[in-house]
Amino acid sequence: MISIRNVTKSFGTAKAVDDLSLEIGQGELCVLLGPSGCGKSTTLRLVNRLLEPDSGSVLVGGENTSFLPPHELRRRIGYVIQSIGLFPHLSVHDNIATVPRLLGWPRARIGERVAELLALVGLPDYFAKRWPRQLSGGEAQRVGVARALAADPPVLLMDEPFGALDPLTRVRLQVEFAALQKRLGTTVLFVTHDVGEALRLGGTMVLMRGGQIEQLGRPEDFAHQPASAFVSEFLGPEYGLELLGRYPVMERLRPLSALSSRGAVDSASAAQSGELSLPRIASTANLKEALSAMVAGGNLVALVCDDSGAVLGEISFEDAACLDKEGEQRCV
Amino acid sequence: MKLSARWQLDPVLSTGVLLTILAVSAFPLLSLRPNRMLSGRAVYLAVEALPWLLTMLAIAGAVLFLSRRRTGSAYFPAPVAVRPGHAQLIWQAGAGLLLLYGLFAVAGGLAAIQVAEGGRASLGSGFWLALPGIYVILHDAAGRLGRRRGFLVWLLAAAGLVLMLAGGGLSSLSVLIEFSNRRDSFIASLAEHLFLAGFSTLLAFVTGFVLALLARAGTWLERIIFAVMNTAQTIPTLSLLGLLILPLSLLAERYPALAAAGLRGIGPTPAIIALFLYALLPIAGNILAGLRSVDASVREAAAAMGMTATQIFLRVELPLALPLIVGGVRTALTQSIGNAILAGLIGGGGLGALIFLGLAQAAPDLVLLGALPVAALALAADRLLGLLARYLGRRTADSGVYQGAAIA
Amino acid sequence: MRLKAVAGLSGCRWFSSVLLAGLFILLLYRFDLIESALSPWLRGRSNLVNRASLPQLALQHIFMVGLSSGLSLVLGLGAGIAVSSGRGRQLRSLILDLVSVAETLPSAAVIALAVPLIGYGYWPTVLALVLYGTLPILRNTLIGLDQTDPALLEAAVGMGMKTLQVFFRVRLPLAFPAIISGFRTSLIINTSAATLGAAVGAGGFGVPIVSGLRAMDTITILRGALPVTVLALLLDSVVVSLQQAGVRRLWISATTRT
Repeated sequence: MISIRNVTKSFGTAKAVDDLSLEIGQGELCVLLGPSGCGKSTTLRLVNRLLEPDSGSVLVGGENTSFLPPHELRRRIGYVIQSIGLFPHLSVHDNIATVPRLLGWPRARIGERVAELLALVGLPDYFAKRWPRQLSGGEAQRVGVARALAADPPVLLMDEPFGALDPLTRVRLQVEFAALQKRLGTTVLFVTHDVGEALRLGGTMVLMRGGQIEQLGRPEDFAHQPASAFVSEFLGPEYGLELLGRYPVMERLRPLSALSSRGAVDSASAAQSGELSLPRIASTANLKEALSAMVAGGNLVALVCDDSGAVLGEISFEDAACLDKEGEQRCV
Repeated sequence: MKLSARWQLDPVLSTGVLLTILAVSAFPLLSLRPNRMLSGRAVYLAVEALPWLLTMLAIAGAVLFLSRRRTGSAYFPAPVAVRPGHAQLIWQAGAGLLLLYGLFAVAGGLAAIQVAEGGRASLGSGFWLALPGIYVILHDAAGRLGRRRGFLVWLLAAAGLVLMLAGGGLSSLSVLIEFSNRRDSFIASLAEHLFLAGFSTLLAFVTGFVLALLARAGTWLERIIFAVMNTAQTIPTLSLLGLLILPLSLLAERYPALAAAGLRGIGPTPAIIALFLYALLPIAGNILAGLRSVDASVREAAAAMGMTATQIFLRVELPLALPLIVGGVRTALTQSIGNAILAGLIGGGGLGALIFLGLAQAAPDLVLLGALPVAALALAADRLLGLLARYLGRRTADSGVYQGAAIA
Repeated sequence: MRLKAVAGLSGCRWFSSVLLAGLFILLLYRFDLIESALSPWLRGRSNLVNRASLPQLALQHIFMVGLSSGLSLVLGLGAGIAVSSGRGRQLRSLILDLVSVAETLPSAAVIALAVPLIGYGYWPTVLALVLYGTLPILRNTLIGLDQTDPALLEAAVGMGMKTLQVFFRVRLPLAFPAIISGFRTSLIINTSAATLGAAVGAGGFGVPIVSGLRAMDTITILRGALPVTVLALLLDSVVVSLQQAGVRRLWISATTRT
């Protein structure tokens, strides 16, 4: 859907992007990752021609972007940035309706679309009448995403969109957005410097350094075959653990063993009888959280419970800690 | 520990009430002169109209009594004085209006008595000092009553005065006698004055817009434009008029076509040029500041959504800059209304002509007849355009009354 | 090396003031040079209705502006400080509101209104200038003193400063830029309004301008207009230089024992 071919872009003497080539397929979510100054934001802006390449070409949907008028190209590409840039003089409704209006949609269709989008990004419909100043950071960014999706663009560019939000809101929006992207099948190019964010979003990871691609692949590839010392250093010594956050415990669930059945009594009676109670985790948790619960509870087995607290099964330390190269369970 | 409740007076309101009381009781309300030239005798309310004075003092005292507020004890003072109730404020506004009407009525009435005896009665220092006092009382009530009711208070104040003027209740005051003697020339001067101020501001707006766009394009251009406009702003108004005379009359002599078009060293043209030069800085400066105040991320978002440069300017930058632009016009127009007085010195007409005529003839009433409308016009332009700027910025301003109202 | 650079910079800072001062003095004592330079354009435009001595007019004008601006500074600063601290704070919003209304009144109207209200001549004009010139200083003092970051005040109290020390070492120095810009506005307004004072019999450079305008005598107009223009630019340039020289630094070095 997006092809970047041998693109170079310099600012003065500094090369921000250096002979970079990248293919992003239809419906793919590609995360550009790297330290500040590595050229990831520049690459993003080359796609919607907020910047023009010095050499090389960018194709969107098979069309060379340099042959299209910039404003027509941009109306087909959604764009979300960290500072959001909501128009303070327009209501939420009018903000979301910006691109449909530029495209000359009829009024009724715009109204329907705005209602649809508010529901899509999880905001109640009365938010349409609010003004940007009245929104919290998380709400504003939801509106920003809705505005970018308004004309149903096949491509969405996002530049650290959740960077200014508080940690809880950020994680919630990341998870919601990943689900939304899968549902809509929009091609997304996402820039971030936060490894955790890249992992929560999933998709292909592209690690950049000095305007070039250092490594490209699935998140697991980065753990098992780091391309250079820089990759390992950037991802950090806890990357292996971070990676476990991508896998839900339900994939590794086993029936209760005889041993842990004894520990599966409720904790109050366990304390009375002097028996050990096993750590409990929710069925929505991931492997990293399971390991954390085991460490905190001082046990190598954790019980997985549903919302009502009923025990569904157990997970062992070996099950939770092991990944093979395909991300599948191997240690039996 | 002492826990008795205490009464406390609101400092703002008591200032207003005390000023009013002091003004009406200790300063002369009118000044009486046997004729236009001679200086006159002071008329004190206490001497000539004691019942009126006592009534006004009673009303003022009632305002003070109504405004007393219960606070905590000496050891537990309430952090904010307990807010006055709604009814209390309406009483306060009513009392303020009564004081205002009363002040004008007694001044008009006393003047009528004196005029009947053949003298001239002009307003004295007591009258002028009481006005800010009553303003404070009304402003305090109007401000706390909220936007709509507050506006109603001012509307009632203005309507009462207009009714009194129209009904002839004040027509014995010397300023109004002067007005009725010169009704036609006053109205012509007023129209000229409005034209001078309005036209020069309009010219400055058009030019200022172009200059602001030019300044936005380049920093060195910006520096030059603003250095020139800053210097023009520093030059004394009268001196700028004087400096313009020689080049303008030379131009008119050299090019008769220009002279035919009205360009001369004297008359309204140099006045309009000078006012125009003064108005440029606030207008161009505010337009530039308004356009610059648009957040970079907003501009980038607009471009990234596929707006063309023209669309970004018209749909995003201009609407966002509008409150500041109106603010610039407000400063420029207020300033022009005041400076247009000087046109009277060079035959440019306007209310300044009346003022300078009055100064030359040592006729204070004529000076008042010229200067009071100028002051009123300047105040009105300032307040109205200020309201407009606030209305336009209500969605985007960081703070303001509207924020709470919009969320509620 | 560094000292030299600083000296060079400050020389540059005062350069325009010195230049304007020189020009001003030249205008006062050798106005005939201007007259002869302009003579080709002045034919039939001059009958020299007013030959008042320029240095004397300058003295009148400067004294009028200096006296009123000085008194304005004392009044504005004093009232501003009084209203910014202690119980005076309760009157702050009232004073700000009244100042904003009064500032809207045009200076020319104020000078004119002074005649029927206080009288004709030099002292009434000075009084009007003092009252009018106080407004921008008072407003800026109030705003400047209120702008101090609360965190700074807390830090100052936390370091053990007493109330007066907090005021004189933190709040007042931080308000200086605002106060000086208010003084600058006041000075410019007063210089301009003092020119107008000639119309109400107060003397100064306005005298030749007004009589020249009445008689359509260009050279007489210029005798007033040129020097007063240079004087206004000079005063403005001096205040701007003072601003840049950092009155705050001077104040701190003068009030702090090291």
